[in-house]
Amino acid sequence: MDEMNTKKPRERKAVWRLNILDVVILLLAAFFVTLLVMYFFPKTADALAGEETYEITYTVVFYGIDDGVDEDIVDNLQVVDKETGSVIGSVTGSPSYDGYYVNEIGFDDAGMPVFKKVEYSGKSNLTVDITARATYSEGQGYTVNGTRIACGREYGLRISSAFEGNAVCTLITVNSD
Amino acid sequence: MDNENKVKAKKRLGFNAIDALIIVLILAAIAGLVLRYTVLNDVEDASSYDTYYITFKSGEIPQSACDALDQTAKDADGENWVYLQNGTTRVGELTAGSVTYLPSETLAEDKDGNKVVIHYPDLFDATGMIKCEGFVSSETGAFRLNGKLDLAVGSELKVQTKYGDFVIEITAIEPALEEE
Repeated sequence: MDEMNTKKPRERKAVWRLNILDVVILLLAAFFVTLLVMYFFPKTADALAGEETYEITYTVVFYGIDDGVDEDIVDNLQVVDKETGSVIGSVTGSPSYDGYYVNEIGFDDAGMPVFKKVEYSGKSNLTVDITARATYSEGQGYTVNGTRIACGREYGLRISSAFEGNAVCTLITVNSD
Repeated sequence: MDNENKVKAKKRLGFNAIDALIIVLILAAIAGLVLRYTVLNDVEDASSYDTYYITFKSGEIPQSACDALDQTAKDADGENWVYLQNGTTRVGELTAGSVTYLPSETLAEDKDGNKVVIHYPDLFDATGMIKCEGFVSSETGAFRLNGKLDLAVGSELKVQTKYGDFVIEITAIEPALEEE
């Protein structure tokens, strides 16, 4: 008996065991984090769901570029969005040129004021078609390497080493799925 | 006595079931608050939303922009969406056949110095209608789009559709007829 009493109690090592309460805490923490992610990053869930891709051709117009600019825009040249530095398509076909006009108020034969389109000599509009593989999602529309392609939007574009300037998108055509 | 004190001290510092329960309750309360002001808030409000029609004008835009707007309105199967330019706030759907446009106007003086209206040859004022959800806020009296964004006649919004970007000015906000 004495021997037993004098025996030092065995030191119990602290062993952490996962119990039901720990599981509940972890689940709640995960739920809470998920809610925060959903609230602050609503696009994340959409991105995980995947997006559709399409081949699109969009038309951009460089308004009022100086005549005589030694641009050499040809088929298949890569087009870069200067803001993001990403390639957002390649030139399709040959560019077209037309006159650059400004509106000036003049008078008709009856002496009434009217707008007259006056050709701005020394400048022209350069129209370029660009083809790209775009992702599509509701709310964003068509995006190419993170750049949304939309009519009315202005882009700073660099077409290889041939030309760079600001252009406005005027048309989007979806070629295929 | 020393050993007893040590055991007591250990007991005081130990993490027990009550502590765990308190933590669980705190987390549940935080999660509940987040739910209340995010997900559930929308669900509750969504049930009380009504359908409204917002009429808008987009002034002095080129023909290509009018075409992009028209093309959006013709798209079916929910592809006629209109979002704010943040890409996350849905405004509604552009109503089919609602888009019209006329040459933009300005004032100019004739040879006698009288002010007369003249029309731009290549700029247009487009109008259209967006079907959206919301209610008239009892707090502000404004139309509250999706329960979040207060709008009134004259509000200017930067929006985007499948094909284009536009700046629109609201010209009317009307509830849908009951049979709709």
